[in-house]
Amino acid sequence: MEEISCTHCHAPILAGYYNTSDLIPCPSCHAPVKIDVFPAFYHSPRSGKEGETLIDDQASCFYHPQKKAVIPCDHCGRFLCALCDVELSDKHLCPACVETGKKKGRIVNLDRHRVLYDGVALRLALFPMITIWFTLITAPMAIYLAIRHWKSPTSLVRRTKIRFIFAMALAGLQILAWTTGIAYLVSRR
Amino acid sequence: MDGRAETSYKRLPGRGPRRGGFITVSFSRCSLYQADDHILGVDNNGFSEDYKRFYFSNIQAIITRRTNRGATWSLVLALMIACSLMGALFLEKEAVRIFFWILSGAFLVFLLVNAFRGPTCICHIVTAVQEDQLPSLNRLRVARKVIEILRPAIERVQGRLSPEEVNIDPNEETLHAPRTTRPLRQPHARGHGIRHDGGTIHMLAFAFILLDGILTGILLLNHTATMTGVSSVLTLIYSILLIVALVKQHESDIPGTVRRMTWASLGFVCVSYLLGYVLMVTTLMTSRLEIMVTQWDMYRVMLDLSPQDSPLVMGVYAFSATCSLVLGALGLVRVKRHRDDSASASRPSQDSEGEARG
Repeated sequence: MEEISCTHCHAPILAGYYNTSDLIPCPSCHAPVKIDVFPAFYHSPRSGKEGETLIDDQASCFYHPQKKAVIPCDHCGRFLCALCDVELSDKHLCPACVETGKKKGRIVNLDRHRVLYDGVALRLALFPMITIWFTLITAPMAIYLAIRHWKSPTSLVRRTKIRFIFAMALAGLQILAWTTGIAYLVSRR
Repeated sequence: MDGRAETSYKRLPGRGPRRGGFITVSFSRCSLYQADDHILGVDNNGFSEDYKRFYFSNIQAIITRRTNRGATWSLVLALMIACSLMGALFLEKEAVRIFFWILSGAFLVFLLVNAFRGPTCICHIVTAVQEDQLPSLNRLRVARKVIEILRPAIERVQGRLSPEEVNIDPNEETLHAPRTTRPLRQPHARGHGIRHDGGTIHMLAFAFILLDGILTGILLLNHTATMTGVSSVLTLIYSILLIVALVKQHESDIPGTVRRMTWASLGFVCVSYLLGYVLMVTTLMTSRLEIMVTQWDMYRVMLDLSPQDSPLVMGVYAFSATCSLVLGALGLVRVKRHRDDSASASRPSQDSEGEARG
C-alpha cells in the first residue's frame, strides 16, 4: 500500500490525516488538505490470471494452443484461456476483438476521443458572422458538415441534434441573405 | 460487443478549465459525469471531447487542497476597482468618468461573483496507477458536494471502511503537533524534487521595491524629473527581478508567505503600469500635442508630472509609495527569516559531520 502525498509539496501524508471531517494543514507545507480514502486503498491489487496448461483432449485457447480454453469470445466465438479473456462491460472478449472494437469505435467504453461535428458546424455558422464576408464560404460548409455527419456518433454525454439544427438554420439564413443581396445587385445593373 | 449501446450519464456539479498556472488561457472546459460503475471526465474544447474513466472499484482516494487563487483574484479585482474609481473620481472629462464608473461596476460584479462562489481548491483522484486532477472541482463547496454524491456509489462497489482501516489517531497531538521550529519544505520522492533556494533574488527584488517606495515618498513632497526617472529605472529593475524570483521559487523551499508576497508584488507592478498608462492617456488628452513630437518628448512630459499638479497624480504617487513600502519591508523581513532558518537548519548537519570526522 503506497502512501498518499500532498499535492502541493509532495510529502507523504500519514494515515492519521485521512478521512478527517474538514481541511487540515499538511504536516509539511501546511496547505489545507482533505483526504478521502476508500477501501480500495487498503486492498492489495488482484493478481492477474494465468492460463492453465492443456491436459489431454480438452479444448485449447486460440492464441495459446498449450493452454486450456475456459470461455469463448462473445464477439468472434474464439476459445480463450484465462490469460486472453478480457472482461469488459460484463462481456468476455479476445484481445483482437477489443483492438478492432476500439479502432472502429464499436466499444463505447473504450472511446477516449470524439470529434463534435455538431459543435464544428455551429461554430462554422456562427463565428464568421463577425466578418460578414467569410460567411459566403463557411455557410455552405456548415450545412455540408451538418448533413454529412448527421448520423455520426456525437458526444458520449449529449444526445440532441439541436446544434446541427441551429447551425443549418443559421447557415441557411446566411445563404439566403447572400442570394438576396447578389440578386439585388444584379437586378440594379 | 456492446456496439452503440450508450451508457447513461448524470452530470455532476462543477465545470472549469484545465489550469497550468495562475492565469490560464485554455479553451478546454472540463466536467464530470457519473455512470453506474464509473466517473467520466470530459474535456471539451468545442470541437472535440477527450474522455477519461475512473471506475468506482479503482478509486483509492480523493485529495482536496484549498488554494489562494480565489482570494488572489479578489485582491486583484479590488485593486482594479480602486484604480477605476480613481479614474472615475479624478478625471475631468465626463465621458471618460462614465466609462470608468461602468468599469468599476463590472469589476465589482466579478468580485461579488467570486466571493459568492467561495474558496477555490484543487482536487485529485488517486487510483493504483495514477493521480489525476479533476479541473471541474475548482471550488471547495462544489468539491464537497461531488464527493458526497460519489461516496455512496463508491461504497456500494468497494464496501465501507472497516474499523481497522479507519486509522484515526485518538491522540490529537499527532494531528496538530506544535512546531518548535519553522520547518523548511523537504525534498520528497515520486520524482518531484524540491530544491533549496536562499532567496537572494527575492531579497534583491524586495530591497529595490522598498527603495522605490522611499523614493516615491520623497517625490510626493519634493518632485524632480531626475528622481522620477530614477524611480522608473528602479521599477523596471524590480519588475525583472520579480519575474526571475517567480521562476526560481517554483518547486523550491521558499516559504508560502514569501511566494504570496512575490505574487502580490507582481500584481502591484501590473497595477502600477496600468495607472501609469491611465496617467499617460489623461496627460496626452490635456497637453498640447505640438510639444510632443517624439517619444522622448512624451516621456519628458510624463517625468514633469508633479503630484501637486492634480489629485489623480497625487493619488497614484501615494498609492505607489504605500504599497512599495509595505511590500518591500514585509518581504525583506520574511526572506531574512527564511535565510536565517536555512542557515540554522544546515548548521546542525555541519556540526554532526565535523564530529563524525573527529
